[in-house]
Amino acid sequence: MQAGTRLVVNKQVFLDNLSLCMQKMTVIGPQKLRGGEVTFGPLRSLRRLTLDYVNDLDPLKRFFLPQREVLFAYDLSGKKPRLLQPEQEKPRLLFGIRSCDVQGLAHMDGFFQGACYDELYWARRRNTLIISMACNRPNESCFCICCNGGPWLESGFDLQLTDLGEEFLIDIGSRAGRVFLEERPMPAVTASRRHETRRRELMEACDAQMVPTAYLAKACIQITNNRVREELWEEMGSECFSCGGCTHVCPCCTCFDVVDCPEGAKSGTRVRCWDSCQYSGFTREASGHNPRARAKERVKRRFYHKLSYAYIQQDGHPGCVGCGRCITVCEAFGLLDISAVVKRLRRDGQ
Amino acid sequence: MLLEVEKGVVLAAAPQRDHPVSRGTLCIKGWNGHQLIHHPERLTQPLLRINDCLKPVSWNKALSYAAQRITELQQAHGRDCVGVVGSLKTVNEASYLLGKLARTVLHTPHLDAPLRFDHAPSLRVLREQSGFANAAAALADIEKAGAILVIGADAKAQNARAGSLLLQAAKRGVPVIQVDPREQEHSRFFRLHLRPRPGTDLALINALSHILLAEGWQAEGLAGLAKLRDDGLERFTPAYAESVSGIAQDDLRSAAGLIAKASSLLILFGTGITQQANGTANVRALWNLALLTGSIGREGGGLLPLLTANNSQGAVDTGLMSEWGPGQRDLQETAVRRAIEAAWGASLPAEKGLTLQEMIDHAGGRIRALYVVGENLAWSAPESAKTSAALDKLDFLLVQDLFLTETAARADLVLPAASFAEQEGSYTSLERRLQRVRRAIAPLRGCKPDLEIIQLLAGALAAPWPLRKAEEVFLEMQQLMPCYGGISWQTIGHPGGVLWPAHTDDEECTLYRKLLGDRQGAFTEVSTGLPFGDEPDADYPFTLITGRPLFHRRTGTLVTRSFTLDKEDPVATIEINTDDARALKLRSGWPVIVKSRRGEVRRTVVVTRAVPPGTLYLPIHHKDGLSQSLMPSMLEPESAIPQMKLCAAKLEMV
Amino acid sequence: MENIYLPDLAVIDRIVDETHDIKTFTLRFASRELRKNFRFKSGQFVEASIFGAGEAPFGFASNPNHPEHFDITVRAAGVVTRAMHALKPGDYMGIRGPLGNHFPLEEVKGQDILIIAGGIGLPPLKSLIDPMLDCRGDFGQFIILYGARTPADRVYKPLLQEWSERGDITLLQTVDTPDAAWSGPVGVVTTLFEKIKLAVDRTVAFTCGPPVMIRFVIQELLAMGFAEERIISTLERYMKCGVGKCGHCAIGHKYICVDGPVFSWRQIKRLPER
Ligand SMILES: Cc1cc2nc3c(=O)[nH]c(=O)nc-3n(C[C@H](O)[C@H](O)[C@H](O)COP(=O)(O)OP(=O)(O)OC[C@H]3O[C@@H](n4cnc5c(N)ncnc54)[C@H](O)[C@@H]3O)c2cc1C
Ligand code: SF4
Ligand code: SF4
Ligand code: FES
Repeated sequence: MQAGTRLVVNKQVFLDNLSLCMQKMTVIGPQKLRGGEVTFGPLRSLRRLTLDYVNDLDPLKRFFLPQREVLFAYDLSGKKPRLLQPEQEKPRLLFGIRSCDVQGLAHMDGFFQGACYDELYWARRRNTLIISMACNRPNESCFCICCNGGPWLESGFDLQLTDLGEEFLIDIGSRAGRVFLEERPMPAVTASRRHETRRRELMEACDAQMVPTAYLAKACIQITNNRVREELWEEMGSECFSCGGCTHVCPCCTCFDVVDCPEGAKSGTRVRCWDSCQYSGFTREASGHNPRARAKERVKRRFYHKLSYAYIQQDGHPGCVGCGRCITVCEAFGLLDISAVVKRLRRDGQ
Repeated sequence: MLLEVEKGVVLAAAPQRDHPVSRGTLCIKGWNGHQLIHHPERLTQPLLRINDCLKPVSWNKALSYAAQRITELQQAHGRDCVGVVGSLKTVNEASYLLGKLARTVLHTPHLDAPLRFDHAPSLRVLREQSGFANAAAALADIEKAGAILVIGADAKAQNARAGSLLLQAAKRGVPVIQVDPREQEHSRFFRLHLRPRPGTDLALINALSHILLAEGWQAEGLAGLAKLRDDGLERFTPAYAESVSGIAQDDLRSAAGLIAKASSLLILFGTGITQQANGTANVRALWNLALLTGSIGREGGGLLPLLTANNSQGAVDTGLMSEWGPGQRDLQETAVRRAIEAAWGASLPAEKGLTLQEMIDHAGGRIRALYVVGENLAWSAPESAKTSAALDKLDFLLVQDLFLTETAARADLVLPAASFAEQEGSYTSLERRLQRVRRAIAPLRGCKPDLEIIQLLAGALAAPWPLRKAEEVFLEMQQLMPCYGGISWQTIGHPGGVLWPAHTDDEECTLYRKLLGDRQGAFTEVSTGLPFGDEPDADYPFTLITGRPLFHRRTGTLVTRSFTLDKEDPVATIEINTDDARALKLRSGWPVIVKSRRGEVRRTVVVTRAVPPGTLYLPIHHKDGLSQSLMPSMLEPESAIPQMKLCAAKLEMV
Repeated sequence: MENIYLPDLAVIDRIVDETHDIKTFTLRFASRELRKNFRFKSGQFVEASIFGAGEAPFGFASNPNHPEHFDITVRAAGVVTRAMHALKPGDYMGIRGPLGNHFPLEEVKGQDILIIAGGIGLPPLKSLIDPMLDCRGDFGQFIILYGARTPADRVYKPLLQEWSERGDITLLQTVDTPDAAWSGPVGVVTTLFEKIKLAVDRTVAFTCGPPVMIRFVIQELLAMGFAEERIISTLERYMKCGVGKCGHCAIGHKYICVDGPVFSWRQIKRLPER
């Protein structure tokens, strides 16, 4: 098998193999909750796995940068403090992750490497095989086609599956992905013309479902050159509830807070947990001085980070993969999600 | 809300897209409130006061001690020497059993819920007029309203969901009329903002009705109009209202015009109009206004009090308010008493119980022991100094809470309760939405869910109560609560649960009409209004109003235990009008002492045009002195709510 | 790969009370190997931990030519700093560092030096002054201006005495509120400018202190004709991780903890939200 060629595997056979994996590693996949909502979580069998799902509202970055994560534990009972590193987790397989979240991981990868290499993030990253599911069922708010975030990807996954009904069409994205296929008793055939045509049809059908709503390019220029009227920021700031939902659900947002959680006087942990630049406490200093005291400045900050060239140059792309989650969670519904803001900026510029 | 758990630790909260109300959103408290679950200050052992020091004891010891003390005191002073204060945050099943415990096992009439301090007038008037002590509208009505009147409430800060729907309505062009002395963040998006002098809402509301009636703009087919006019409305002319409230007659007329033109009027209101000398009169006036426009029971219309805690309505429904038993039924009615006595197999105390503030006022006198579940009275009650002294006068204070709150710290015995993530049960939201919560993790070691604690306490008091699960208790309480009839434990487990009364069609908005039947309701009396009782004078020249900032849920007990939320609001401030600040030579950021006739607190000045001249705005805060310590505790006569919204005050340099 | 959030243990050798709310801690790494290999530069900072209370950033306050031990000077401002003030010699702290960029010490050799410090802003500048004075001959005129709220609020009083007695540097001090013993100037630090003579094209100015002071100082310097790149300042932001990950200290696309805290006015001016 070669990277780059597409293979076809019988769906049930693939899933049976997935089920076998569950004994050795943590398999995380989409499952239906009692209420009918689909969310990603560890699977113990195929019983709760579902393949008919729109993406989880809770972003999958949580499996790499958990909302709450222990950085280390401390023990002060002796003369000298002892610091204990968190334990290595079992190898994991993330099954069914959607393309936008895979792109989000690519964004986070860039951020967490470099001079200050975040080993905690990377330990999870190295530890996890990514089997993504090309998105043939977009949510009504999705606009990944505007952001190179899907619905099909070229890279970033170990394996990318396309659900053809009876079979999975598989793109191999890495050595680890290839090894995974080779090591398992899965009769695979090279994709035929028929499979490829079907794949193309699905892609087109999906594209057709997505109205391209967010033309980021112009907003990027406006923000970079500071050509947005202050009054518009002012208005958006007044609208914002500062709930932080937009940054919590965004696969590209990475900010966190660090706090100590003592368990009694002698021991405890230092943890990091998601924080939001939309909170006023985010920048408040010990003196009480707050450089971003007003919601206006914070909303501006969020879009500066997502859309300014300064950041695009650093990251290689805007800080949005078009998952549409901020559209759903924004308490100021329809006013401050990225697609709404991009639209408002564009209109404002005319 | 979904909670994410790993190895017994709640890591995160996530919203639910399928939920009909939240539709995938959470407020800042929803996103971060879970941090309190594993907060290091959580209580994990019962604490007993020994030699004036709280010492850990076993659950057995704690419960038997509680039973012994209560029994001793009841033997010495009579059974009604015990008072019970319910929680607005715990599950319905626990609330129901707490009521049952108070009224049968303890056999005391003195039971009340802290809702008394927020919305006693709203519940009273709504129950009087409609038969139901709850909102006469649902949140979804905000989306369908023809016009919206927001009065005495900051929806954005107090209920983000309501605030969100309101903002959307305003952006769609629905006329929103806001009545509030203070300018809020969203005011700029509303069609009209009327800023009456604090405490003069009654004149303003009645003047709106007056104009509607005078212009013949009322809905058709209403009975009792002549009486309404002659028995009071007549004197509330626009000119009179202007002289009282300072709102120009033209503005009143435009507001009335907007209301008259709209297909329906939805009124959202909050503690700004209830915690006043005219609390009940204000809600009555709102009822009349809504009725005049024909909006009661109509889709997109009605009265929506913004209850603040997650289970405020549940506390009313399950019978925690002093005047009503389970199912909001009037305990003074013989038939109701009989039915409840028969079901519970015990007699109920005959006399009327004391309300919350009255219990505090009688602490150490008629009330010798107080059992407080999940409420930090030392913070939430007005005149904090007096409240703390009252709590200290009790022979026995039993507090059940997650943390050692200021109230718990004064207790003789503290029982560590489990958080929302550690209990099973149901909640009822402000729009009568009954929903189940499932336990996400086992109770922290040493803690017990409220439901279990109450049953164990009953057992310790020798009541033959078997230990039952939430579902069993739900089935029992349903028997006594016609309003929860026809609702199954399963259906309330679905996202969004069920709106009571249970309905088969999906039209949630028309629900209230269904509930009312054909009754459109009748007009109620027009009160002339009382002076607010703590007037400014030369010594105390300002009128001070309080409000709850975005990040506080009631008393902040839970919020300050979430590091993200605690960081949001670290500085206690006071807002003063720009002109007043200039006259006093005050600048933003300066420290001042705020004094009322009852106490003083230290605050940091914020100079702003958001408050009108002569007015100070004091966000409820606990650092550098409790805001509530300034506020008066005298009771509004009809609903026994303390008049804690406004008072006279002055500023002094530090 | 190591966990960048994991501190190393350091022992407190000495604690000096500087003012009623400021203490200087002399620290030494617990591990011998670290002690041997540890190096830092003027203007860099550490994240100091008190386990159970948290972590906070502090500039190095001692001479980088003697890295076997180092000082931090800490004002009790909140949770972490108050916990630090309760420590005794022999106690442990967690230290991560050195972090951030540094003052351009080598680059300014041959220039005249003007140091303007306010209150707790002197300690980080001390890590620059010390090595400069080690090779005093490499610099031209050397002026230090120091402003504090009161005479008692000045840090390093013996050292200030020592500096003022040196013939080869000019030290001028001012206070906002004098006490009975104070005979020096009174007023904000910028009032000292009229007492000194400078050749602005040969001088590099370094400033550190409260944000308002820095703002006024920079205004004055520009008015005096300083070129933008000859004004070097530190920026302070709420910090958490110190390694460019948590996002708290970002201004525009710069992370103060990694790209700073030292910036020239030319760089600061270009930041989108100053
Ligand atoms: C690069 C840099 C160098 C500094 N050097 C010194 C120094 O040499 N001496 C000194 O006394 N102070 C210095 N400070 C300020 C010092 O870090 C704060 O006073 C300290 O963080 C307050 O922490 P706290 O926990 O006691 O206060 P709290 O108010 O309890 O703060 C809680 C948290 O907020 C963070 N925080 C609060 N204020 C600041 C702030 N201004 N900057 C960064 N983080 C903050 C801390 O990480 C702390 O964990 C420096 C700050 C920076 C950014
Ligand atoms: S900005 Fe919004 S749409 Fe874009 S990636 Fe983030 S959450 Fe998704
Ligand atoms: S989700 Fe919307 S309302 Fe909430 S912080 Fe983000 S922009 Fe503001
Ligand atoms: S302090 Fe965390 S990014 Fe700078």
